[in-house]
Amino acid sequence: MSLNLQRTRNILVSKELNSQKVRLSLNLGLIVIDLGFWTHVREIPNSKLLVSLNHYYNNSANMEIFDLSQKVVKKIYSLGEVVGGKTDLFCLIKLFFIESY
Amino acid sequence: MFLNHHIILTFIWFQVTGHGDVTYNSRRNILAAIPIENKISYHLWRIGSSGKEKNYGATLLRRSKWFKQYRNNDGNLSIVSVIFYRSCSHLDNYICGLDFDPAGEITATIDCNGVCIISSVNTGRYTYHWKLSDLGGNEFIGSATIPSYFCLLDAWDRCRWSTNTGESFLYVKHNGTTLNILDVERKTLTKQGGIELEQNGN
Repeated sequence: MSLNLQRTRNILVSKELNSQKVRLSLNLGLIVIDLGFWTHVREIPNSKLLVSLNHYYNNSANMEIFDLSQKVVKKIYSLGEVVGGKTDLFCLIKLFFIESY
Repeated sequence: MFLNHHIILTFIWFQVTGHGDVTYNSRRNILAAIPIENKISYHLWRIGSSGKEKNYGATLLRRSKWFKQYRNNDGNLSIVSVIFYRSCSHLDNYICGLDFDPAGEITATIDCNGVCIISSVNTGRYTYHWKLSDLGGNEFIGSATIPSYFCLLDAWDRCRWSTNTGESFLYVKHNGTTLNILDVERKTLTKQGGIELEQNGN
């Protein structure tokens, strides 16, 4: 593995460790648990590609692929932010209740 | 206004992608990642190169559909949970782990309630599933002192195929500290009840 690849991986892994966090907020007596960001990195075997995956637990996720074969790391693919899941009408109703209260 | 913008968004939307997992199969050069609750089990890409200079690229092949066999946590919402807990808890189910078999023909996925589903990579069709945990997250909702996030059986369920040639074993960690070995070909558990792992560290 080249030095360049190793260095980039170290940076990404360190970013991963820093980004893993659990936040706990108190708001109007309700506990909101926010699990923050979770990052995965994976090397594609027999190539110099690195996959970086970022999950924001209850909001979105995105994925990028980097080409580490050149001196300058090049992003070759980005899925963009993916959002989706279910819309929670109960929460919406309750939000209006809290706001008007 | 008491609630800041971020928390408002959290209240309204439960767009759950979970903590995520990623798997790659070298034989077929396919990669799977990014499940979305109730919509997509995983996205499937092909990673390939073209030309003499090996210009790599990724092509999105399919968004594999969400299987109805995953446990639905919204099934028995009680009025208590709606009034007191719905806005501060995570009544979600998401895919925690996914993996391709060594041949790249079969995908295994597991949700955070211990439902492991085997499906075809080529068609995305359901093949078989195991309910590895009897308890559902929502069975604790009435016990009103804990946020229901903690009712997820294991937010870190994982499944990994055996890499040994000729074996069809799937190793599954679920329910916090339980390890099961599934024989996918015979559709059986190799050890009933599973193997108890040590707390903190496995």
